Amino acid sequence: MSDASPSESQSSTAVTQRESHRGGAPATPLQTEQGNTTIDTTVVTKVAGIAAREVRGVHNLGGGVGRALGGVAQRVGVGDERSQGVSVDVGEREAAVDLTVVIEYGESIPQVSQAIRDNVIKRIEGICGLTVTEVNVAVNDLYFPGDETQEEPSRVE
Amino acid sequence: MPGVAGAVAGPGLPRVTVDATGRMLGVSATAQADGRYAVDLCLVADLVPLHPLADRIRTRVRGAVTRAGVGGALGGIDVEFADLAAPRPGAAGLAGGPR
Repeated sequence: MSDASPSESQSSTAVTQRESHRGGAPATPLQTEQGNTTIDTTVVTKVAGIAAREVRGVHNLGGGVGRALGGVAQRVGVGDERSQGVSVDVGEREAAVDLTVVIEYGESIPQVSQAIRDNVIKRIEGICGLTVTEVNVAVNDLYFPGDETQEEPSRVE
Repeated sequence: MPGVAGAVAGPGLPRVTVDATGRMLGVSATAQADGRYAVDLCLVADLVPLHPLADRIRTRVRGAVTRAGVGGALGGIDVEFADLAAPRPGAAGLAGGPR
């Protein structure tokens, strides 16, 4: 079931002045007479991840390998679950978001995808003040209740 | 102040000020050609609208600098939000979410 990846696009509108800032470089300076405000790409990424996770039917974010690596990174204290499965392009005033999600079995994928889009757009516009031109959702896997891998009992006490 | 979780040196040019009292992360002041000083802040924010927060930060910095008697020397105040703070324990994500 994994790697089905039906990707859907919110809009074909190109991001004007779209500059690739993947990787945490500063983006979105808003210039005023009192000074500039800059919101780093990391922040936009985390807002998108948190917003996607809020949607009912979203079990997790990220591909299988990404989730595994993210879990390891978090255990050693260098990863952040909130940016897993999220990639953003941030321009001067606009942002485009790519999400990889795992959806709970039984939920309508189109409805969940649309709910993700709506919430991500609302949150990024509300928190970062950016216009979101695209939210691409790739459904990477389905989650079945009981899928959790149970930890093997220790062989020694 | 509410909405600001902390300060960091930042991903690019480090914003750090060192004086006799110690090292202040996330703050630097740069002399401008007009004799004033531009202040650069690099912050970790809570999950709140960031542009209004930046405006409140500027107002607060201007007030503090003016009260210190050096308001005339203050130039622009650049605010960079470098990261988001982890949600507080027990917080259920963003308020008003669809869940």
